[in-house]
Amino acid sequence: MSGFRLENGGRIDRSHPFRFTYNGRSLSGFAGDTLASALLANGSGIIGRSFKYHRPRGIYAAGVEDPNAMLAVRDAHGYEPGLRAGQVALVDGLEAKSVTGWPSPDFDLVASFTRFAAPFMTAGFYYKTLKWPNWSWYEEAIRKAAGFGLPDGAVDGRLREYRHATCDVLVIGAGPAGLAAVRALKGSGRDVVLVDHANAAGGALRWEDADVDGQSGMDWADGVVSDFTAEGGTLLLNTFVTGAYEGNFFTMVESLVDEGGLKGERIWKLKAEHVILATGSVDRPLVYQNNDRPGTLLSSSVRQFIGEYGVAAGQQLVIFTNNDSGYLTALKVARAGLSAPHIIDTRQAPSEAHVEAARAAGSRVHLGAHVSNVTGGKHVKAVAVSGESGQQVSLPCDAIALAGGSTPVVHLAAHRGSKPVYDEASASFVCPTLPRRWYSAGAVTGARNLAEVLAQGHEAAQTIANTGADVPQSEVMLGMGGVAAMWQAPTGNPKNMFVDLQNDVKASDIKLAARENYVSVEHLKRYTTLGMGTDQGRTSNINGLAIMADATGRDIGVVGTTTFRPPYTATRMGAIAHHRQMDGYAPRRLMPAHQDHVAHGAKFEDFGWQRPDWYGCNGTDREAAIKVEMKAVRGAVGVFDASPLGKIEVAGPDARAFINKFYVSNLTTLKTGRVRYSVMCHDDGIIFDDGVVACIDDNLFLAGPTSGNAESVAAWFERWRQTEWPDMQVAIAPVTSNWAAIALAGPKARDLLAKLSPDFDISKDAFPHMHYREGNIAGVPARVARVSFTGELQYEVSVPARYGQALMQAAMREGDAMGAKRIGMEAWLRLRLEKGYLHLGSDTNGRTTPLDIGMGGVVAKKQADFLGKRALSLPYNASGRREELVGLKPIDAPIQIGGRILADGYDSVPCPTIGNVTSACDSPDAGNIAMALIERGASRIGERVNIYAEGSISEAKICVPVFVDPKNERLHV
Amino acid sequence: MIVITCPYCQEIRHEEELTYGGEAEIIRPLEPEKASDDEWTEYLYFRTNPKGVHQEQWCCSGGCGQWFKVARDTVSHEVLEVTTFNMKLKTGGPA
Amino acid sequence: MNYNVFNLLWQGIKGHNGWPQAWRSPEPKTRYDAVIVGGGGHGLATAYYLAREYGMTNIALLEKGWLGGGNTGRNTTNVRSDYMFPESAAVYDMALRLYEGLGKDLNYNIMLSQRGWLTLIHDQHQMESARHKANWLQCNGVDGEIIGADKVREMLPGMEMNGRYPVRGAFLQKRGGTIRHDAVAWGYARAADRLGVDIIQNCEVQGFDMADGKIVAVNTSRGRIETDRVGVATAGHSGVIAEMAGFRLPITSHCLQAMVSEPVKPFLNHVVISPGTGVYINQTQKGEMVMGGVLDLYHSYGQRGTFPTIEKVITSAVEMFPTFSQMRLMRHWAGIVDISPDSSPILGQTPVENMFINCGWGTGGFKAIPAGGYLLAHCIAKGSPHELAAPFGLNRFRENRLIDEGAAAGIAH
Repeated sequence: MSGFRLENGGRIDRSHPFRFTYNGRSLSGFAGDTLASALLANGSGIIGRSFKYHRPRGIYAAGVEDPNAMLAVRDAHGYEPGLRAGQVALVDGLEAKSVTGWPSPDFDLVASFTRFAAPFMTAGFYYKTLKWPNWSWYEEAIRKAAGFGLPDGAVDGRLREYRHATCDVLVIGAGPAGLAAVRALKGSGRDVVLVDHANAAGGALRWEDADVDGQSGMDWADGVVSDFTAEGGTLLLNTFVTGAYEGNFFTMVESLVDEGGLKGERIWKLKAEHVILATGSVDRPLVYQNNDRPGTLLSSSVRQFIGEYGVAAGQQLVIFTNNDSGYLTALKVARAGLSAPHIIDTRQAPSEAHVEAARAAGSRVHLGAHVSNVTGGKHVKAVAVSGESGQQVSLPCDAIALAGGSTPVVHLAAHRGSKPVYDEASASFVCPTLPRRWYSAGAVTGARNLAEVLAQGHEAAQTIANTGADVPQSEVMLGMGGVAAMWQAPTGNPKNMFVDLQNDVKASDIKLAARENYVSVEHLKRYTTLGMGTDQGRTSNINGLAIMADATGRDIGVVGTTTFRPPYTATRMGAIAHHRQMDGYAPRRLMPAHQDHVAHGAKFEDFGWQRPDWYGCNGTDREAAIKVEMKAVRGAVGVFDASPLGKIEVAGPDARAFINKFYVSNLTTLKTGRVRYSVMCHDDGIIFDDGVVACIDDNLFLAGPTSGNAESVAAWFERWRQTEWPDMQVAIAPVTSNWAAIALAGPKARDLLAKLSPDFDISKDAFPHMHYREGNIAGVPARVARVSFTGELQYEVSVPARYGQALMQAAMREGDAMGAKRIGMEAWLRLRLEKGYLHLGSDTNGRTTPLDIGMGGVVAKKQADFLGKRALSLPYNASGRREELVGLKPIDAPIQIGGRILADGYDSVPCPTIGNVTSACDSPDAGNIAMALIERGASRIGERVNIYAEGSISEAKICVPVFVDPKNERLHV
Repeated sequence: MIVITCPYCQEIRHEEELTYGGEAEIIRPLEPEKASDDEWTEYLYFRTNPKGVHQEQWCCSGGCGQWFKVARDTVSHEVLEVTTFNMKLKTGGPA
Repeated sequence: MNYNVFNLLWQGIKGHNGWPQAWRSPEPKTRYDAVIVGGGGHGLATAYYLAREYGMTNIALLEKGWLGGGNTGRNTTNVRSDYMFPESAAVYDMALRLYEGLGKDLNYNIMLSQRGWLTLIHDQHQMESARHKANWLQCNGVDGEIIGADKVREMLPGMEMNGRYPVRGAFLQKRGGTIRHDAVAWGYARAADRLGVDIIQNCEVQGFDMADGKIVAVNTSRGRIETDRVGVATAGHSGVIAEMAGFRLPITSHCLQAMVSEPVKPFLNHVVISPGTGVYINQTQKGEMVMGGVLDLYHSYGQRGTFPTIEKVITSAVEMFPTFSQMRLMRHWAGIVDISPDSSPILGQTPVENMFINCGWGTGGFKAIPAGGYLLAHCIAKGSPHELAAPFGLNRFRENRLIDEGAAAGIAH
């Protein structure tokens, strides 16, 4: 016999029955149940198998501390492959499945193997073996055994919300301590947020039999809550505070539940001025032989199942305790009309009041005794009890409640670096030193009875705001105190005493770790896997380190705890990822003429902006279209959307002097209306951007960084202005996206520009190469630079962004008769390769200096300092052992981009290399061409090199990197 | 979560709205050509790396765009002092 | 006692009462021939190779906390050697080759799982970079190849191929994979201890006694220890140790976060990184997804992360594997990494004549442990760097001879 529903009691709504399934079986529950309480009520004994030994395991606790109850759950809103049953609010139609045990948890074939193998599968056994022939040989089989459920491949469609908030006081936990705190803050005018993970306030008052201020605990709690919300306090239920971070910043996860199940989650990012930590405690189990058998539960959970859900863990309980709280359980069980449980108390002389109360309720109390073994393979049938004198009795039972003391939930304080220290009186780790403006109250401090809990909550609040309220009173006589630690039963086989139920860590494993000198608590954890499961050791860590302390003759406090890490309970990744997927992950930047590109079959690539790689309107396959586009530029005119090109205005009396500090070229001589190409370096001499600078007038310069660096160059200028040269009179305005830019390139570019009705003279002599003009084009204000990236006559026409699409369309309309084509990025880049212009980031890398790309002369001529100048004379930069940018022509096979240039005299790899092919393409005019960075390349023009690419080696000749129009005749037409 | 009130716009900024800029008092040698190789590479690459109070630069990049100085504890992340860029921090710095 | 299947069976029968300590916990002596500061992977490997390869056994390793408690126990366990600059390739591939034999070498199973490391390729430019990288690696004698999108789809079920950053292919290093990180520290510790090295935990270095510009003794929380040579392998805390010895290092310490999901049945059987999102993921032998991403950008010694970075990594992981949205984040933590200006290590001599250093590995320290230890051991024993370590000396910053793999790759490493 196992758990069942009581006739009466609990806070469930018996008028709302639900059907749900567990492993395909249809079961019933009520509104207000959790999946855990409903499963227990249906007598589900085995709900899973342990990780290592496949031992049968049952419901162990009511809340998230349960190490056993991990199930796959599907509700109307979605599926999760692993959820704690105590965390799932039961809804009609819910489907739950076990995720451990093969073929099923009830009948597990692996268990018959592990029963035999267990003696050899101790902690860390794999470190000692499985080395031959190698680990990979065993890996596949081992991986098969891993994990809980399998994600079903679907995208989680639950609602996801983020909320940012601040408050004066954050009260974590709406149990009696938290409620006493908010009650005491009434009228203080403070903005208070009260958070609890349960679906109603009250904490343990929801299931314990207690009176406060002359009312039942829950009536008192309801009163406090209604006063609190009436005053405007924020009550967040179904909400876990998952992490505490610097600056009193908290993450919280609020579950949004409706009749279909978990509708979604809301993630709160909350910053609090003051914090009251009233997170309570969880019961600790006791460690004895076969303490993992289904039917074994935490004692407080037995009370909670009765009081909150009207569910009994069994017909005949045995309570194994080392403190007073076991007696509370006995009374609760007796009051529920069940057989009075046996109490096995490890203590010789517990408080008379407790013993008498239990005896009066019909319990038999065994003092100075312990459970030495359990019979029943798949469910507890009886316990063997050893008394002090050594005599054994066997007590038949169908459930065991364990009260081994309580473990305060100090996680959040520990996230902030508060050190948990061992408190002898409560036999637990508490955090006496808290972060600034934090206060703790209730069971989290080790408080042992309700009166103390209430007083602490009250006092914490009064420290923040003294409202003069009175302290809530409780008449409860019995409590949780009197703990006398017993970390491991004195008799029984340690090889069957389980400390961590999820990871199958046994008392004997901890002793083995001690014997092998894995005695640091972190080594203990990592060597044995103690506390590394999904329950993060909530019920196991303290017992484990206490056994380690005992094995090594140290105090528990000296052993210490492992580090507490967020989140307090596992947070669904879909909730964190929020709606930020696909374009929400990184919004796509679209150019002003995007729709026009789409309409003409553009195949987009992401260059920070969505830019056409090539146009479907120019051909059906990529190579063919690119050839059409290149030919148009060389023979007629191409229209290229250059809008992302950076545009930074540098204005003010010191604009010229300022901008001269950045570019390696001398800009002091740049005349109004002129444009100059240059590169800029970081102060280590490495090139980080290139582009043209236009002098609009003496006080206004327009810098044109590459599209990829448009923002970073503006930020770079601004930073130097503010931090290093604050006295310079200059202002920096990044205007990249204010302007749409269309480049017209090709011998007919001037004809096309003329068709667009410029209101200024664009004739060859009036507007020469490397000049800049402003005026109107097609009736809108325009900035035009005659510059070239292609080697052809080329104009870059910028108009206010809202006219970008119209300009693109006008250019194509007017250009149609002269053979104009839309040009994509790839054709554009190949055209510049033909001309031998460098493409930043392809033909330069993180080591390239201006000296390496043939700008040594420019650098030498510039007298003034500029960023990067000094570094160019550092030993390595001046060593002459640098990779320099050159051209390459193939000798046998075509040159491939990314090929490595082999050192002289090598014709097979591996071997030393001296550079790489940085750009390569097939040019319709020049054939296969390439650029390369080659060590000392500039002095090796005409020499041959071997290139390695994708398994083969070819030969090429180093040349000057210009493949069309070496005399620049086309530029100046 | 680092939260700093910008000394220029006086707005409270979370770390997502801020840009970190490294050590505060890094000054580019005024006459680079006169700096020795060691002095120049010291300026380029060598930084104090204190476990404790660190004087550093931050930019209110999600707000007013101004760079300012902050003294911060690199262990606790507590912000100890904030000042405009033209001022020297009083907290931390070379002993 | 050797670790092997026969001893395991015998001890299983005998109740496991015969296993000896994996390493001793000796009291520090007053004098050693050499002292190694830092009981992470690099320090422990240094101790092991110093004893085994260079015959120095009267040595002590000092660890302020517990062995492997720094970045060795905080990383995402990935190993690879797909570095392009030949200097880097030589060091990282030496590390991977040593790792490949380490389980048998140390008689300790480090669970090297060479399941393959995939760097996704999202666009044309990355494809070109990846081709260059594959060619360069092959010239360096290191394995690496490009695979197409179809092969990626087959290898990474559940991966979104057409997400915000579409997947066009991947760079694959088959020898890349994962290792049980703690086992590296423990295996080296046990092997070094068996060679006579004194491994001293809970022993914090508090200062150095110097004479004539040389260290004569190390002052620790457990007393003064005289020595002729000191090797330092303290990663993010190298700056603190350097300050005690009176010099500065060109490194800054940053927080690098890692996080792990709750275990699910294995379906991700390779290690994957996306340059688009900057996030890398592997699934452990227990079924957890281990995820990491970019550094927290500000200077930090706090071994805790901040939430914005966690959001970014999780969001990125879900972007890569949409079905991760059904899974839960179990735990997140952080380590302190030592970032040098070129993200390459600093190996060899320091301004203090008899102090040698191994630091600056940044985010790549774990995968380099065997080489880092070997090369530091050489330097301590010989007084000058091994030829593979020579390019990584402190003097490279004075010469501006940086080895910036990140800048060459365009991908943070």
